[in-house]
Parts: sequence; C-alpha cells; structure tokens
Amino acid sequence: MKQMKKNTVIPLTAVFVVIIAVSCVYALFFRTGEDSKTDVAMGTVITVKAYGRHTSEGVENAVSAVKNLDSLISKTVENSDISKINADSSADVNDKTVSVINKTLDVCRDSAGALDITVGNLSETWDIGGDNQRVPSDEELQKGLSFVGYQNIKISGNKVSVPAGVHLDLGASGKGAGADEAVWALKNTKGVSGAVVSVGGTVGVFGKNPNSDHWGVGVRKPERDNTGYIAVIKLYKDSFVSTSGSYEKYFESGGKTYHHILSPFTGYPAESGLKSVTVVTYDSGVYADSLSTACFVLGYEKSISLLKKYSADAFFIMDDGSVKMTDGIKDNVTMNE
Amino acid sequence: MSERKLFKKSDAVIIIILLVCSFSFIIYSKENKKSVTAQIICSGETVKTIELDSVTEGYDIPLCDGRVTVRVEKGAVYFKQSDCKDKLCVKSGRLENPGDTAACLPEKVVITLSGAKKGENPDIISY
Repeated sequence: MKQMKKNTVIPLTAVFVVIIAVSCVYALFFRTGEDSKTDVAMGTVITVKAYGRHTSEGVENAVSAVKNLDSLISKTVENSDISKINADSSADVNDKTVSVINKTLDVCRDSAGALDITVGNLSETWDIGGDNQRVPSDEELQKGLSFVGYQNIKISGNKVSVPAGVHLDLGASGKGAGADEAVWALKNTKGVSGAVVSVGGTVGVFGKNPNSDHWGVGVRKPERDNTGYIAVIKLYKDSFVSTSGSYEKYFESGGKTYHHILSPFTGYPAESGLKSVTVVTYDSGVYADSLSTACFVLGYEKSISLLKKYSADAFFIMDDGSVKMTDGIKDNVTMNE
Repeated sequence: MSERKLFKKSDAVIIIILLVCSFSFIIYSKENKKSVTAQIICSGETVKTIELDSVTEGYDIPLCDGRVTVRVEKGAVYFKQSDCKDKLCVKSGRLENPGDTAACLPEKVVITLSGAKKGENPDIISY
C-alpha cells in the first residue's frame, strides 16, 4: 500500500505541474483582456469594446474623445463651433472642426450636392424626430432650399464663414467623425490590440479580433422595429461602416411616412429606390458616414462611381427587399437566414 | 526486483484525462457565453445584466424614479413605458437578437444585447 502511494505521487505531481504550466502559459500569452462601455453622447448611443491588456483606459479615452468632439460639432450644443457659425455666419473654430467640415465637403462636391451640409435650415423646418415635426408648406420648403449650397462655405485657416442665415448641419458625418476620434484614441492607448466602436450605428474596427480572424459587422434589417440583422460583413482589415436607412427617424402624417434623410435637391425625404445602404471605407469614418447619406440620396446606379472614387464598398437593400453589393465585399458577406 | 518506471501506462491515461478535462473546462467556459445577455445601462453605468434565456416569468424594471419601465421576458426585453416626449424607445420594440440596441436618450437609458446565436455572429451592428 505504502509502495503504491509512493508510485502515484510522482506522476500526480507531474500532472499538476503540467496543468499549472498550461494555465500559466494560457493566461500569459493567449488570454486577452476585454472591456466595454455603452454610453449616451452625440445625441445617440455609443459603444466601445476594446481588447488587449490595458483596455479600460482605452475605453475611457475613446468615450471622452467622442464627447469632446460632440462639444465642438453639435449644432444643439450651446457655444459649439457649429453653433457659433450658425449664430454669427462666421467663426474661428477648432482644427478638428475644420477637418470634419473639409472632409464632408469632399463628399458634397464629389456627389454633386447629393450630400449638402447646408441643409440645416431645411431640416429645422421639418424637425423630424423633434417636438415640432411636420410636413412644411411649399413656401417653407422653397425658403429652406434657398439656403442650400455647400459651394458658398468659405474656409480660410480656422475661420469658417457661410452666407447670412445659412445653418450648417453635420448630422450626416458627425457620427463618422466620432468613430474616427474613438478609434484614434484607442489606437493611441498602449496595450489595446484591437477594438470595435459604434457611434450611433456608425462603426469603426481596428487591430486584431481575439475571437476570430476578422471583424463581423451586422447590417440591421431595414425595418422599423428591432428585428436583428440581415447580413454580416466580414472585415479583414481596419474599416469604418456606416448605414443610412429610411427606418430610423420618421413620422407619419396624412397616411404617409416621412423619413429623416432629406434630398438637398427636392427638400423632401429622399426616394431613390433604397431601404438602406451600408458603406464600408478603409480609412475614414467621416467618409463612410458622408458616403452612406450621399448614396441613399443618389440610389444604387449613381452611387457606384462615387464609391469607386473613395475605394469604398457598399451593401444596398432595395425597396423590394432585394440586395446588391459591390465586388469588394461580395465574397465577405454572409446573409442571416 | 524490477526497477519502477517513472510513468506507467495507467499514469499516462490519467494525465491525458486530466488534460482533456482542463482544456474542456476552458472551451466550456467560452461556449457557455453563447447565450443572449441584456445589459441595462443608465447614464453610462450598467444597472442590470440579465441572461434572457434564463428568464422564466416576465417582470418589469422601474428606472429613473419610475419615469421609465423596462419589461423583461424570456428571450426578449423592451421599453414598456417612458415619460419622454418622442417615445422612440417604446416604438423601438422588442430586443431579441445579439447586437440589438434601444435607447431612451432623454433619460440616458440604453438596453443592449450581446451574446451569440447560430450562424455568423457579428461583433457589432451598423444601423
């Protein structure tokens, strides 16, 4: 009996040593920490998930970065750069504000005005999602349209000027700018090896996903209640993803539904044969966000050349429910059955 | 008298069984996360985490001094009532799938679902 005990001690000890060694190796080299936070900023929901070894600092940095940017570019925040421009038609603004305006103007120009950040007066007239949402009269629409014209924005250094009465609205690119800021903050936090952020549904991914060889970004079903996602786009490199759809903000009047994406050409909610469009860019959240709005206004056919100019991809859901997508992502999309 | 070997066949079997058990535990821990979890967040702080598949009987959660009520049911969660003006939170309907998010922005309440279901599971949803 004594001999038997002696015979089993050494192997069992060896087993425990092996188990402890395996656990230590796993903990030291394979286990990745994870932190996430969901908060409200920019008038929307922001979510940050970071992976790596010092993730909590990265998450806090990202959330702060989005909130800081909001204080500069929101038109509803008193004394923001945009509020100052809208109040006085001219203001000296922060470098970041200039950068967001300039990048958004790139898409305004390249889409020949399908995106236009001078629709502020028009969107205030409709007030979709606000306390006074309503269908404006023709006279009100014509007045709102008379202010539209991105070509009239003047930028000299940090000074931004608009014609008297024109109100800027960065609603079409602000969430993308927030995603840019969040990703930048995470990339510059030592110890964060990968992260995914969402600023009101505009997504940024970068680095390594510890759970997969890609990041999976779901495309929401274009319905008016939370019905999950219609497809997943697999992304194998740093990317930004933005969706514009007619389902998010809307109201009903006289038996008709009016959504929030206004055509700068007609003044009415855009009708281009799309329920939604999801744009993927590989360098900028502002571009992803701006392009998704422009593409929604333009429709499928006219969007293709614009997307090519930015080396961007897109997933379109047509009014009849069918889907179309660009070549760059067609092999990386999984439909959700 | 025969010299005793350091490892006998039976010892090797025990070692393999224990290693398999320990790896199985790691894998089980990861797989076990594959259920849908709802997080209820108020002003950036998580106030409730609920495994939706474990819910047996529906119940209400009053938040913000009763200005918001969240309803929890088996496999779903939603804003049942809110004193906010636009009621977008209530209109956003039932949340059932990982990645679903709804918010009452005036009250800074967010409900977000995470976890995994069959098929390709996204890390996040673009909307």
